Amino acid sequence: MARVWNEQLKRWTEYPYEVPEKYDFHWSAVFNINRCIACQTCTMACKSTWTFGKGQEHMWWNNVSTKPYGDHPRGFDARLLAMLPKGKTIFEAAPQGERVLGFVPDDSDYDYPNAFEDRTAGDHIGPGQFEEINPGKHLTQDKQWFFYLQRICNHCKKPACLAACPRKAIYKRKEDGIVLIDQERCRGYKKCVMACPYKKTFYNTYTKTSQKCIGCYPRIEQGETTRCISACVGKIRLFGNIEDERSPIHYLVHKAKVALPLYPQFGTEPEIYYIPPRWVNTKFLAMMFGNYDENKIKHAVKTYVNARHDVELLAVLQLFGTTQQIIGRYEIINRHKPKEAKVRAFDLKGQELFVVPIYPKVEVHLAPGEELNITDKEKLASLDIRHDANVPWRNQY
Amino acid sequence: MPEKKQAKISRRSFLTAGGVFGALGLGAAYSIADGTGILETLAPVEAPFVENPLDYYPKRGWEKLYKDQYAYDYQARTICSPNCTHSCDTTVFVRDGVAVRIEQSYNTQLADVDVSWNPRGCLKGYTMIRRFYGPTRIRYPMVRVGYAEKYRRKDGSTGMRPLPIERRSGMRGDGKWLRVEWDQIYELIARKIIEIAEDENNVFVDPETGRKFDPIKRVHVYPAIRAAGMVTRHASASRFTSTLGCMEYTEYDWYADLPPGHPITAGYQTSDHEAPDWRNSKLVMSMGKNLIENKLADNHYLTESLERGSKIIVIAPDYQPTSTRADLWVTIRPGTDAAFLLAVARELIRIKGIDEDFIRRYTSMPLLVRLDTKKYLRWSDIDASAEKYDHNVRNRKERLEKYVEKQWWGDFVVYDEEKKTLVKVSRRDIGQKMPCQKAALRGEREVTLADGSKVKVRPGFELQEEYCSFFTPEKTAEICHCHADAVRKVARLFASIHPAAIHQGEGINHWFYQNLTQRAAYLIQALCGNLGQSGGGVSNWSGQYKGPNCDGVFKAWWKVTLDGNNPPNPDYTKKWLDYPQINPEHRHLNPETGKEEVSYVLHHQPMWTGYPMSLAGRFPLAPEKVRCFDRVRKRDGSFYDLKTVTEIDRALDPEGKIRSGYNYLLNRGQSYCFSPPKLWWTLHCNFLNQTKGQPHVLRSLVKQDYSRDKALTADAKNPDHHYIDTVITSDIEMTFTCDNSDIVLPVPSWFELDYPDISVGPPMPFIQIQQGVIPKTCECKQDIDHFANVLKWMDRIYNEEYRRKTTYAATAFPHILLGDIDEARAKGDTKLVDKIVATCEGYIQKVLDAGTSTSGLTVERLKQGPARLHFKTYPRIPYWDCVHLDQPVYTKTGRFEFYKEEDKFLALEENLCVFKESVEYTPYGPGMQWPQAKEHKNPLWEKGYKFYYNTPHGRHSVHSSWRMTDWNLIWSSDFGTARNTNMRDYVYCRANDGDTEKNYRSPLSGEPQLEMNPDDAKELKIEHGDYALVYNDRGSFIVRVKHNTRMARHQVTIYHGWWPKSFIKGSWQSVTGLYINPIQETDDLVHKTVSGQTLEEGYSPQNWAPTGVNRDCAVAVVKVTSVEEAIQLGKKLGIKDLMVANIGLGRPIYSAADLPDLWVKANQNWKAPKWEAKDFAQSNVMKKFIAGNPQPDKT
Repeated sequence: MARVWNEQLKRWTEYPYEVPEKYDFHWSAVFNINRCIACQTCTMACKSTWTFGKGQEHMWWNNVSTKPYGDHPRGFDARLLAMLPKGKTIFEAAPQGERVLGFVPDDSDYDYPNAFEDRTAGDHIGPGQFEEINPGKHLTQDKQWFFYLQRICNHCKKPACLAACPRKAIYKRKEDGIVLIDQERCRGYKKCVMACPYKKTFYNTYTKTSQKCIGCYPRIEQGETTRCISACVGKIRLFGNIEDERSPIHYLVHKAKVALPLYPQFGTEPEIYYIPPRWVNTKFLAMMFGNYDENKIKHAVKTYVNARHDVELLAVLQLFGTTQQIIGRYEIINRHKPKEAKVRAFDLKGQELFVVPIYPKVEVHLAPGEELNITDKEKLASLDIRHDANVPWRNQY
Repeated sequence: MPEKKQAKISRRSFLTAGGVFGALGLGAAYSIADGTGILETLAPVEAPFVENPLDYYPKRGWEKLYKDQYAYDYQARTICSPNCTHSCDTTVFVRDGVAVRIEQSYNTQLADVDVSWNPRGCLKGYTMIRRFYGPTRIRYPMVRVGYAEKYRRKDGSTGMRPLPIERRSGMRGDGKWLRVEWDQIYELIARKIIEIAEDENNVFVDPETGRKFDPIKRVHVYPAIRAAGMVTRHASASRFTSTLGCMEYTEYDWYADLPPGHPITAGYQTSDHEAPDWRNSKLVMSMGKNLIENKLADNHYLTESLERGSKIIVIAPDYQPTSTRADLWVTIRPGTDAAFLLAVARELIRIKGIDEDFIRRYTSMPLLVRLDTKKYLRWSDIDASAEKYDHNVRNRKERLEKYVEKQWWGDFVVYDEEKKTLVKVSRRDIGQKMPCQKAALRGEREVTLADGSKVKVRPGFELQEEYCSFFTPEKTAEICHCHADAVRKVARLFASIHPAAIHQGEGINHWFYQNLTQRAAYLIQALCGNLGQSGGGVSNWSGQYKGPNCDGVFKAWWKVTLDGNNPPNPDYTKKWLDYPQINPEHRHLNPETGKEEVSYVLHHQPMWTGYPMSLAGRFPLAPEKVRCFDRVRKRDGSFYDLKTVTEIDRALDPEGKIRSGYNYLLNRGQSYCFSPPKLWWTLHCNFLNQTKGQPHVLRSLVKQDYSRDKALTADAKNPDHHYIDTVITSDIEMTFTCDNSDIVLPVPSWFELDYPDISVGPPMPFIQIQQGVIPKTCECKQDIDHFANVLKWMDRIYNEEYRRKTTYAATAFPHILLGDIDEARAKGDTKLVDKIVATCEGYIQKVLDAGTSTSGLTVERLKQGPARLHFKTYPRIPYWDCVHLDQPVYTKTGRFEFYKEEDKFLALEENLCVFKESVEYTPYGPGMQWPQAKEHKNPLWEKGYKFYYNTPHGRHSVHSSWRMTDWNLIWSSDFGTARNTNMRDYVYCRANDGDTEKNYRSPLSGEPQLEMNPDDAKELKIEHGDYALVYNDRGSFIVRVKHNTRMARHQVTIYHGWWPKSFIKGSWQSVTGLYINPIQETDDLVHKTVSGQTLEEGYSPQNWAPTGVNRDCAVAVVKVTSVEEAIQLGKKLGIKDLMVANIGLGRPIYSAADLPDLWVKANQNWKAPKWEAKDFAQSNVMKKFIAGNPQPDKT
């Protein structure tokens, strides 16, 4: 066992291998839970690309579930948390003879991947009641609640699957941090299935190997984001290089601190970060994203709900789901006039991708002789008036 | 970018190895793994020395494996085009001619909009490969065995002709199919249409109006979702019906997507704010609408408005996904939304949170209303010299000449508070053009009429205010079962935050009294001045109704002028012209010729789909049942008299031809027409799956056992006592409707199209082209070719056998005369193929050129990606020009109309925005107003039908599409699994020459669920995963129950669109009803035409029409464990469709209840499977987890 620094837990932890100090590029993403609609487009994007083959029927490298009850495999997190002593990582809590604390789910746990969709937890709101939450002012939450959790392989900095593999058939690519199971070397011992605390390695009964998310490396190598991230129609996902201080996800994670890792207490340093939902009780979220520290959640939610006062955050939120190219860096135009502000994005090579306004104006076409009856200056400023001899005369056809 | 594939697999082996059409159960997809070496990994490999796999890994050559799996030959764009309104531009990745995967195109910037639109496209697009290569795909044209026979043509080839009814055998839905050749099937259909058109027995005389209908009007075509494929796909049917003059069913209204409150208030079909405008809202109220699940592609704009600081109010009985976004979630009793809104209106007025200037300038509320006649006071009432408006002109033709053609319905009167005089206000005097800017909103006054008599008048505002005053927060709490403070809170938010948007949708639209809720929403928005404003308005979000956005299609494609062509039978031509079946509304001057076109245009007759469903067939529903007059009562508690209401329509009858008392046509306005169907041709809509009152429609119109039912079929020529003669269905996959058809016509999927087509939709400003990107994978032809070929065959048969010259095909679809595209392809004649395609693209270009919104666009440009339609504003904001350029609203007053003076509105007491209890789901007096409603009890409630039956649209399907797609099924419910635990059904999509054993059996990987509050379930002793029988007077079905705490008490939810194949018995539509709200049959309501800027009166398809009422439905639920038990229960409880013990075995049909239910029979021995994870939610591990403190304390 080596002693390695865990940035997310801010302490030295144990891990079987020495960990590289720095990557030039590390695969990473931010998921904004507040925008997720659980449409499963990401799920199907992944399925139709990587796991449609024989022996992969139960495999969902990407899944979105309704928390708290749902997930795939069933209850993977609740079960591990119940085993994990407070203050220890899964490496530190490993039983005698094992490198990692974990369990292998039953076959039936892989059934019903979308069980408990939209099932609420908390107190039932009956007739005659109404519920008001006002996250801007004070962080009270819905009495009855659920939220959607999007999960893929975290491509951890201290991967548990890699640590557990007795054949050293799992490795982490130096050039982008993607964790892969060598399909030629794997013998299907399922140690990685047992070890991965996120249960994102799966055993293939047909090839007799374990398989997992490959981070869409054939696309990453071309400068494109992954399939699940490109597919995200809710615009909740943003991909980037977490190591680059100019990247938008570095801003969200390390500067704004609005995005937090999932179950950092497991100690694997997962590299997917989540903007926590604004309507769920902080205690539950603290268990999930804050290593039981409610202040982290409160800071993240407060920052998010006040995004309108923070030009940079609002600008970065515009970058989600705008392009299939990996956004390397961004800049804000008119930062000091928020209503006029725009954000410009560049790809990894520094080429400009697009410019998008934060508050787009309403485009109005006026025919000759037409006059608006608007006197309010602010309202006029929100219009982009174009005089055009050839425009339609009404807005309803 | 394009990456060349590495592994070489021929397309042929690719298809066969994985069995694209073969064993495509789960995981049996084409297995690339086989070809690329995963199997080899089973052999032992010498392990190289790896010290730290985080640092260095030596042997990375294997990574090629996944690169090979990712490889493709080319990518190309088309659009995903189901009936979800979004028409998302998608890129298809093709390998060896197989579409292997899909991705959004990220190209909206092409349309001169910003990248915030990207990406568009959801999971359905991603799994359409599973659907189009799946087991349900129709692979060749088929005819039901027993419907037709082969015969020898004159040229020696084999033809097909329909059998006369007495020689037919079998029954629709028996699964016995015959594969036929294209020529045979087109001849068959052509012969059938000619047979109907030439039979004088098929002349239909409308018993109410005496109008005669040509036999061709018994041919009914249903091109659903025309806006999604406007030229060469399903909407080519409009050109076909227009050519022959058939009846055409309408869709947007029938599915209750149309919100009639919008035309009532503003004369405009539907006012949806384009999606990017959601971001401009500062307050959003979503009621009866689940924007999260229903607007997947553009939904992010809603959350983005939150990020910009908007507040969201959700009004819904359950904690639905949109509630998660809410700042304020108000639970109310289902069906009481209008009461809640009226209470908010009262509170807004009380706290002076209203915009009085807006109300004066743009609404009808300052206009004076006469208290004697309850009509608007007209200027001609008080000024004898003014041009007179006469309410008593009832004759439609006279009205057309006097008022409609002039676009003038009298001048109105307001009281000027400053000058203390009455002021004339015409239709055009709105906004700052109003002659007085301080019109009185309150105050009863006496005015002297021109004849010297005196009448009392009041402004509409005061009348509405007076009505609203009943709805105090406390009273509303009692009515809506909500909290009184919720009313106050919502009113305060609306008073203080602008602009505010209200989103409604199908949760509202499917209620009998939907109009009232929609009108009340408009009322709130008018009071607050939010109409016509960016970020404001009332949006509806349902339906694909935006054909008018591409107005060229109305002008240049759907209507056909038959230049010198003949209608089917020249003998009828003269009669035809005498028949008044062509509405005067459709009479118009051709500006080029200066002539009236009505005599020369034989365009189709649109008909509201619900009329044949409820009023035709062997068991037409009684009008008082359909229109609920047995339940609806007046304010004073007395019953409405059906006859009284009918009087109003009768008064509109110019010739006095109405014969009352006839079974199915009472109470219908003159502009609403109906003929009983002989032939149905439905396209792309799984019509029978989606029809309300499904058991009734099946019994009354579809199911007919020819072998057994000789006695009934003997009277074949009696049009009123007959099932439908022929059912034709065109579709991509073998739907429930195809199962129950006589003829099945396969069409290409969206990435196999022969010819491109264009599509538009409500939430977005784009016009887009869909185009073929791969060769066709099965024998199919595009809709336009189906229609063109049938017309070609009709010409041939008329010319050869009737010696009558018709040139339908040449007139309507000239491309078909060039040759058949499939034959040209087979011959390798690429020049001819190109020529045919170019001709079809020419049709599209013609449409683009003719349109105002599409001017300057070309087909070539559209092939690159989306283009923007030209409108006054971007994003498009309804009524923006009314409010900012003072253009009149599309009503007779030129204003948003909250007081309605039409006779029917007066008779039904809906002249003001009022609230009425539901006609079905209420414990109180059904169809009544408060406070009288409270004094009455609903007999249905007393009978035990206490559950509100909610059937929303979910994310996993588009209506019934994708309901048979394995991956979607797995994710559609709590009970979906890759293990196929519930193998009990099969899909037939193959010809089997009558042997049903040959049908392919495919297990379903998921099943429907009925969500229910656990407290309700506990009372009924139903566990999570148990099965239950859901029933009411109309029918019943068996479904699995899911406990969900999000459900309100007495509410059950089943997502919409499941096929009957997914149920043990019945279907989700087994309990829904066919109701018609008579207010929606108002003949003299003024509104805009669908396309264009003129106003018209009365029925207008998809615009001002009756709608359906799916959600106004009460059911009872009881636990069952087997079908046998359900049948026993049915006997005990008197459930009609379960009462016959020996279901469907060798007995003639005597009544509707005797209908054999094939599913019950097939599943009689079925037993409910267990659900293993039953106790998971209650486990201690989960309880500690939810509390947020799951860990053991030991360190």
